[in-house]
Parts: sequence; C-alpha cells; structure tokens
Amino acid sequence: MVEDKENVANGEQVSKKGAKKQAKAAKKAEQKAENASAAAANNAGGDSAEDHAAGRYGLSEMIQSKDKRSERNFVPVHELSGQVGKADLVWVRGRVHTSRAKGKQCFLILRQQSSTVQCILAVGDVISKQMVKFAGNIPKESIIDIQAKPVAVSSKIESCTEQSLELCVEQIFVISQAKAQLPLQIEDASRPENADDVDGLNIRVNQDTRLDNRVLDLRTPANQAIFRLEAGVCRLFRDILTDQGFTEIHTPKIISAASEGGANVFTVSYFKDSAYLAQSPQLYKQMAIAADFDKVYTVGAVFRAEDSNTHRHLTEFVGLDLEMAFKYHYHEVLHTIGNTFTAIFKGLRDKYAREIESVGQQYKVDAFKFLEPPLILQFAEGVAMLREAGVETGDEEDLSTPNEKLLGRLVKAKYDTDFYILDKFPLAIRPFYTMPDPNNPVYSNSYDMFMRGEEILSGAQRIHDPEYLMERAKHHGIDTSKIAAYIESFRYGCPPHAGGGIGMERVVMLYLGLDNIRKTSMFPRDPKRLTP
Amino acid sequence: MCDVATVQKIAHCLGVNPGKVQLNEEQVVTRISGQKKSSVAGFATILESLAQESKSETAQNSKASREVEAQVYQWIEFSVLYVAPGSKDKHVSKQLLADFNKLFASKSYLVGHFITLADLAVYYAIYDLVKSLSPVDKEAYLNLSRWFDHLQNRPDIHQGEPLLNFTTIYLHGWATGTHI
Repeated sequence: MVEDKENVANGEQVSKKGAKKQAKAAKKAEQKAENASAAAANNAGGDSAEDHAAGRYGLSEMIQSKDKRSERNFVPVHELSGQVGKADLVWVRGRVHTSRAKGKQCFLILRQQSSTVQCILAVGDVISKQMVKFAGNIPKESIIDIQAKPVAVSSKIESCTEQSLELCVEQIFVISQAKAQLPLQIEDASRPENADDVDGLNIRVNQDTRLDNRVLDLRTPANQAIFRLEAGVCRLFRDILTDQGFTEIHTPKIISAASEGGANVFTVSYFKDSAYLAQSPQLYKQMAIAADFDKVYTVGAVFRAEDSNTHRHLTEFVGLDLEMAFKYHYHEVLHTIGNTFTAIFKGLRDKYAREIESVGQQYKVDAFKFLEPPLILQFAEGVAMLREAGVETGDEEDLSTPNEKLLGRLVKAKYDTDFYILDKFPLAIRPFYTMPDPNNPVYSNSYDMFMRGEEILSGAQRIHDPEYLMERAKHHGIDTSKIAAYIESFRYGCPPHAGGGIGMERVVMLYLGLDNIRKTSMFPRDPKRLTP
Repeated sequence: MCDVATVQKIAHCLGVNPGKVQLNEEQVVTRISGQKKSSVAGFATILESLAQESKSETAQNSKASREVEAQVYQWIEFSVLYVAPGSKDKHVSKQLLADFNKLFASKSYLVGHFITLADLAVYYAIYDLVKSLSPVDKEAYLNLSRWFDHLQNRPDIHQGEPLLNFTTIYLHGWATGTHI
C-alpha cells in the first residue's frame, strides 16, 4: 500500500484505495461533462432564442455605493404576510436557502435570519427559460435581491416560516455570490437532534466543524435566536439594575497582580514588564464602592487560564458583575440580586418567547421554572438534604460538581424550581476577603446561586475594615505586601458592601437547558481554541 | 460470598435453622445439621438442602416446576462462580451491573414472577458492590436499583440491618436533571 502513494494536485497523498476512488470520481466527471455537452447541444437551440427577460436578472456588479436606488421598497420577510394583496411589487433581500429548477419552473426558498419564504419563477411573459435556469444555479447562501409580488397560497407551505404566501418573482439579482462548495450545509446544522426518529435524516454537524466555520453555523435559526436571547439577558440586566439606581462602570482588564489567586491567570507582556489579564472585576468594583458610587455593575470580559476542557468552562467569557453598599445586613444585597434574577427570568419568558421557541425547534428546551420570591436555603440544609439521599459530605466541605447537580435535582423535586440560592457557606472554603458569620465562626456571609443544579453566581459580604482584612489575609497565608494597594483602598472610610458576579454564557446555557457552553458563546475561547 | 455468614443469612431468610456452618479442610462451606449430623458441602447444595427444609414462600416458589428449579439452580451457580468474584473486580463489576440492569428492565424477579432462591443468591452476592455505589451510579442502574430496593425492604431479607439509601432513584419522575 505504501508503494502506491502518489501526490495529487491538491497535495493529498493517495493510497491504493484512494486511487480507486479517484478513478471513480474521474469517470463520474467524464460522464458529467458528456451530459453537460449533450444538454448544451439541446440548449443551443434555446440559447440562441431571444431572452425576453434580459436585464431583469443576473449577477449584480459589486455594490460600491454607486447608486442610491432609494425608490426600491424593501420589505422584511416576516412582514410579507401583511403585504399580500396590498403592494403590487416588493423588493426583498435575503439568502438563497435552497433553489430547485425543474423544466419551466424554479422554486427558491429565500432566508432572512430566522424567516424563510418560498419564491417561484415560472417561464412566461415576464420570465424566460434562461432566467429560470439562472435562478436554479445560484449557489446556496448567496445574497440576492428579488422584486416580486406576494401572493396568497391555497394550501399551507409547511417547509417555510411564511406559510400563507409565496413570492412570484419578476426580477432577481445576485448581490454577493457564495462559493459553490460550502464546508457545512445550513440545513444539516439546523436539523434537530431527534434520536427517536429512525427514518429521519441522520446528518449532523459536529461541534468542532461548527466552531471552525462559525460564520456559517451562526446563520441557523436556533443560533440566531440564542444570541438574540443573550443580548436580551444583558439588556435586562442593565435595565433592571439601572432602574434600581445602579451605575454602570468599566474596570481595567490589564492588571498588575492576580486578583483571585495566582494559578489561573494569563500573563501578557506589558512593554518591558509583564502584566495579567483580570480574572474578575472584584477589586475594582469594591474600589468604586469605596469611591462613593454606592451601587455599581459592570459587563465585561473575564479571563480564566483554567486548563479545563469541560462543557461549561471557557477561558474567556463575559461577566455580569454587581456590587452594592448596604446599611446593616448583607441580605439587603442578597435579596436585590435574587430579585434581579427573577426579573430577568420573567423578562426572558415574556419578551423573548419567540426566540425561546426558535431554539426549541432544534434543541430540547425545558421551560425554566422559578419561584417568586426566590428560594433561599442554608448551606447546612443543603448538606442535610444530600445526606438524606445517601451522599456523604462534610459540614465544611465544598460541594463537588456531582453533589451540586444532585442537590439541584433534590431541590427541584421538593420545591419545583430550577433557580435557588444557598446562603451561609462555610468560611473555610471561601476567599480571604469574605466576611465571616458573626454568630457562628464555621460559616460566612456568603452565598451561591444555582440554575438547573449548576452554580452561576458566587458572592458574599466583603470585609471593608482594613485591619480585619489584614488579619484574614494572614490567616490564609497571603503575603499582605502583595495586596497592599487593595487594603489601602479601605483606609479612607468604606461602607459595608456585598455583591456577586455571573457568567453570561452560563446563564443563557442553563436558562435554555443546553448542554454545552460553546453553544452560547459566539466565538468561544477554550484551552484548545483560539480561532476564529 | 460462599461464606458462613451468607449461608446463615439465607437460612434465616428461609426460616430454617442453619445448624453448624463452617469451612472444612478444603475451605468449602459445610453445613452440619439435623439429628443425624449429616454434612452437606458446597454453597448451591447447602441452599438446596435449606430449601427442602423450609416452608417459606421463597422456598416453595423455587420448586414451583422443574423448569423453575433448573433456572434457580443455574442462577445460584452463576452467582457463586461469576457474580461474587466478579463484583470485586473494577471492570467486571461494571459489566455485571449493566447486564443486570438490562435484565431487570422487563422483569421484577430473576425467575418467573415470584421471589426465589435465585434472587436471594444474587442479592447477597452483589450486596457489597451495591453498597459502594454513589447515588448517581444507583440512578444509572435504575432497574437493578429498583429490584434491590424492593428486595431489601422485605424484613426476612434485611433482617434488621440498615437499609441502603435509594431515595434518589425515585427523583426521575420530577427532576431528570441535565448534563449528567
């Protein structure tokens, strides 16, 4: 087999089996050429006939902002049903989803983000045979402009989102032609994962292929919906907090010292020195509170150099963080955060129902259940529930991932909620700046919040007294000279404060019940992926 | 598994006085019982002799028909030769659990629709293995767990010992959980 290897034009080495395959492909190409020439011979008669539709179709010249063409009335696809019977001719720009020419007719499905509509070209007074042939040969995903008349149909068109009408095309121009061979088919990428349907097509696009060709993958209706929902989460976060008197701030991402602990931090070269990429905006949020901003939130990138290749870890993600000064008890903040979540869930449920349904066409989406006011359990109660179920875990032991998930299910079974808060975590497992519980030295004023059994927020009351902070840092064996600047910010009077941070991608993933965080990150970054 | 303790437990189950149970010179479990002090050696044989003396439901079921008797005997042999030693091996035990789980998907008992010695033999053979499973594992082998929980709740079987915790296998109805 080794002797038979030969280099082919495209640089691939071919074995005996490959050579056979090539011979087969060559034979196929030969036959195709034969058929083409035969067809050409047939059409020779037709081509020489006059093309009465000339000028109404073709490849448009590259749009370099030459003409304004403001007289053309473009209508979005999802508004077309309102145009039936009203306007005579409308212009629509969209992508060729599929196009099938058969004899004297061509059926073309035009796609605009999540909407699809059927377009039909039939040889007649307006349309010529050459025009139908042209339409049938436009490569998939090409961007086209069509001028057409929206016409009502007698029977519903099941395969499109616009089911009650079709467009009778009069003019068709290609604005941007796509390559003929696509690395993945949008249809395949949009196909639902239906394990039960044995007869259905089983072609899937695997995650790596999708992520390598993200530009194509993002065009699927489910992805369009996911990222619009993600934008909704950010918008709701901002609106809800702004309504409660929060101010948005932006914190630096290039910092001089690792904030959360040395291990998982990216180093960057900074002129002649080096600096780090921020693991969280923690330090700066607190400084903003000390600077009298009272209630702040920030939306920005978070960088964690964790070499974890799991379904829920990214090296770069978007953090939605908030910090709030309070009067006497950190529960003032805890309830604010909890209620913010409730409001976000309600907003998503009410204003983004269409997007949720769109995602549900491809992925199984279980409706997200939550209680109002949100459920708050004590850490000790959670441990008791786990022990009742036969899990052995210590009083001060952190919850392992399987235990977290099991607890999530126990809570769901008992209280019927996918979102809950666990309050009063053991002090031993929290960072040094966490305020201990005044009544019980084992615990701390810290909390975690969970969605579908996975942690999405970790927060606490922070120590705002510089002397106490030094004491706790020493207790944790931290060199106080390294955090001198941090401690300094509390020396000029600082109100008691608490806060927390959530990962935007994780929240969207868990809200929809998706199985991988890369589905909710537009261009994900993980230990193995740096492009696109 | 073919040890003294198991034989005694099964004897209790069947409501029979085990007599004197010990390992003989060849390390084979032996039972000396009755006025005649007759000795019986070998786990399966001992079980048979216990069953003959027993009036319990389990024993009666095991003799329901010749086919049932034969199947019960096969299961007892299987549990001694394969299940008991296999359950101590990391890889074999996984296979065992998976196989039993598949079997119990459509059956409530090993032989027929009633409890027999076969169930007892297998139960005691895998007891330690099942005891070591985490709640997630117990759920992974849902059918096996169901059968085990059903058996262990019979007083003649658990004999006053604490029950193993299977509460999470009933969660399936309310909270399936994602990404497990």
